[in-house]
Order: sequence, then structure tokens, then C-alpha cells
Amino acid sequence: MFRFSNQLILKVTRDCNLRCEYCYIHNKDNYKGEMIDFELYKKTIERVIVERRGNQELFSIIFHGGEPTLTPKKQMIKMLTYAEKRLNENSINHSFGMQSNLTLIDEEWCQILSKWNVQLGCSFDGVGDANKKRTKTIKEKTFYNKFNLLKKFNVNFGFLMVIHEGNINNIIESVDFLRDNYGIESIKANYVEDVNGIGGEVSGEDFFNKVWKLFIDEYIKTFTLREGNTKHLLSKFISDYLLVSKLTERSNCGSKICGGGMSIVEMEADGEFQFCGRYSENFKAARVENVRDKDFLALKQLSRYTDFIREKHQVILDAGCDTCIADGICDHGCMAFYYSKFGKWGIRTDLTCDIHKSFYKYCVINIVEIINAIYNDEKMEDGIARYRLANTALSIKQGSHLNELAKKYKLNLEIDKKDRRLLLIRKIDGKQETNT
Amino acid sequence: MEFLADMLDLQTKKEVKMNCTSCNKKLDTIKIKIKLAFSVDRFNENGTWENVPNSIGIPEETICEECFDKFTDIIAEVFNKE
Repeated sequence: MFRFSNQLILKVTRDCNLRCEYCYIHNKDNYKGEMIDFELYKKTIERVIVERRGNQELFSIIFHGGEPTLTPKKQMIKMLTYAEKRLNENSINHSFGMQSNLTLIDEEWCQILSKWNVQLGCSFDGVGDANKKRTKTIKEKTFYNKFNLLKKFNVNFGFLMVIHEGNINNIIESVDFLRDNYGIESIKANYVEDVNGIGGEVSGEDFFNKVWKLFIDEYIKTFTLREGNTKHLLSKFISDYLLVSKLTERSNCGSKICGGGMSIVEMEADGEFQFCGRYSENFKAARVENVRDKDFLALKQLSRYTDFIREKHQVILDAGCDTCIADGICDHGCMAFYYSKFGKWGIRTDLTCDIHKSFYKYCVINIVEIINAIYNDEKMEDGIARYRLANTALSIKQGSHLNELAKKYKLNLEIDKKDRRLLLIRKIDGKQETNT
Repeated sequence: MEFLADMLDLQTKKEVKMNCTSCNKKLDTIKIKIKLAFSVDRFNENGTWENVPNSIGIPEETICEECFDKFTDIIAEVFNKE
């Protein structure tokens, strides 16, 4: 269960004190009062120890929900104390995290988070009316008070914004606000899929134009990238477009065939785990196993993963993803959301394709500016990507013409003799386009 | 060499208390380490084999002689059929 994964997303409860319109969980009221049993929790930690022994890689335990701060504080202290002690005794390299809507955060919670160095992911949709789809009763100022508390107690925190029709028009304003007031340098912006048919979803084209494109444009101008998904996609784009290599990275979301219960284990409060935690309810088709189950050599888990791969493979063939321009960067759609909404496997081509194709095409047009930005970006800390990107940019700066790549991709790459800038000439649909 | 060192427990020659990861019996005479190396590729539309992300792994178990006998018996019975 934990042999292949570096992360346990532990859904201590599916209960939540908010009712966000875009939440993917069906029938949330059914989970009122649900809470993981401490004995089951201990069993889970012990299983982590057995299956991670000898593995030096960092293993993260993320307390998730529902809303994890519905856990009584004494119980959370007990859970953190137990995990810390047992994992240290067995030399399991680990870290703790939590994803919260912040509404219940108070000084005591901050002390707990700070003491155990729990990295807090804050669900926050932005300034103004952006959070109206999450709560109509909690005032904007309340959230700011929570941010101040987190800062006061030196809690390590970051932000996840879900982009919907209520906040899509003021994303940059919100990110500016977080930077200026709380020193937040980067956020993560996810697009919403309307799993429950309530609305709020934005089109793929709108999402790209009003979110990721703005962050790319800002990056080109300022060499500062303030959105996590954009950064990840840009790295993948460079690898795919200039370096002709496909990333087969470990990933849950974001890769061609996502985790499928392998790279990240997302466990419910009753010990069940599915291909991922994004399924709106416990579907038989997505079930992997229970933490109490014995799984010799992970054979059950492997068998379920190959079942998942077979389904995804067919979906990819049906949609024609292998031959799509954006294949190298695309997440190929969320199977969990699709299954939750339609009861079968598939890809939301109207959403996924529009976003990723737009992203790829925009990067092609602006390739020189993007390379220039990466080269000048001193905060690009992503090891391999940074190294590759820097080398690419360096070779361009030094006047290397990258002839082999140019030939392969029918590109003409030249250095302008006057100002040494790269000229990229690409033939698209028979027309010759030049970017400088 | 790294694989061999791992299989031979070269880095942990010290006395370590262990139980069989299958039946939980204390291991005090013989322990047998078995590993399953696997990797999955898919045949894509471009006519090439493409590695599936997250699909490379080597799960392992350290088991007692009795469990190893059961394991080999079952494997032999299922896969040695004509």
C-alpha cells in the first residue's frame, strides 16, 4: 500500500463545516460526525513503517478531509505525537501537512501546527466576493484574521485557489493581495469540474486566458512565476518541445496516467482507499483495498493499478491524445471527476483539451520570451528542469543554433546578429511565422 | 552491485529483530527476501511502447521458510501447468 507512494493523504473525516458549491463529494451530510478511529490510525502508521523500512525518500502524511480541523485538538495531538514517535524510532524520513478551509483555526490550532511543523495548505478563493461559493456567512475579514494568526505563530502555510466563475476575473488581484500583506510568493490555481451539476465551472478557454496565460505573461515581463501549475506545465513544455523528452515522473494529478492509487495513497476515515481521493463516493470500480487488508508483495494493489491503466489507455486512444500537440504537458483529464459525474471512464475534452492545447500553443508562440524568463529567474529551484532550462537558455545566449532540433521540428533557430536575440521561425499550416 | 548489496543486507549485518512479513512469526533461523520487479508500458497510437508513470516498482517481503514454501508451491501450481 505504501511501498510505491511518498505520500499518505489521510482523510480523517469527510465531514465538513462548509458546503462549497463546487465540492465534488456527493451527499456530504451522510458523513456528519465521521472521524478516524485511533486504533485504525495506529494500524495505518505501523503499516507505513513496515512498508517504508529502508526507504530513504521523504514520506509525507497530509491530514485532509472533509475538514481536518473538525478533529478534536486532543485527538490531533495524540495522532501527531504517535506518528512522530514511531516514525522517528524506525528512521522513516517524514513530514506532516494539512489542507484546511481555515474557518476553525485558532491560537491552539496554530500552536499544534507550529509545534509539529505541519505545513498548512489553505483553501482560499481570493479577495472580494471570491469566497461566496464556499460560505455566505463568514466574512472576508475573518479569513485575514486567520492568516495573521498563522503568521504570528510562524506556521508554514500556502494557498490553493479553486478557480470558478465567482473569482476568475480577479485572480491576479488576489495573488497581489496575498503577496503584499502576507509575503506569499506563489499560489496554486486549480480549475473546477462541476461534478455535481450545480454550476460554477468556467470553460477551458476562459480558464487559460484569465488564469494561466496571465501568469505566463507576468513571468515573461518580471521573471517571477507566482502559480504552481503554470510552473509545472512550463517545465514539461520545455522538456517536450525543446529537449524532446517526455517526463514519466511520479505524480498523482498532472501526468498522462495519474497515480491510480500508486504514487499517492488517499485513505478514507474507515481505512478504504480508491485510485484517488477525488471520487465523489466509494465506487466499486475505483476501489483498491482497505488498510486492514493483507497484500502480499502488493499484488492486489498492482493488479488494480493495471486495471486502471487499461481503462485509461482506452480513454486516451478514444480521445486521440497520443497524437495531440499538447500530449507532453497535458494531465489527460481527471478520471475520478469524470467517473463521479458520468458513471463511466472518459475525458472532458471540452475542458482538458482546451486548456492544455491553448497553453502549449501560447508557449510555442512565446518560446523565446519564456526561455529568457527562465534564464533570468533566480528562484527556479526545480532541479532538473532548472538545469535543462538554464542549459538551453545558455546555449542560445552563446549563439548555439540548436540545428539538430531545428531540423527535426522544422524550425529555423537563428541568433540575430545585431542584438544576439534568438529568432525562431516556425512553419504552422504552411505559413511562416517569426518571433523575436 | 547495489541490488546485490541490498539483497544480501550488507548494510545491516547487525543483529536485527525481525518478524516474517507474511505470518508475523519471529525470524530466528532462516529469512528469505523476495522481490517483485515490475514495469508497465502501453502501446500508444504512434506505434511505440510508452512507459506508464508510477508503474516501476520493486515491492519486497522478508518471509520465513514455511511461507516461502507456500509461495513457491502456489506459483509452481499456477504457472507450471502445461
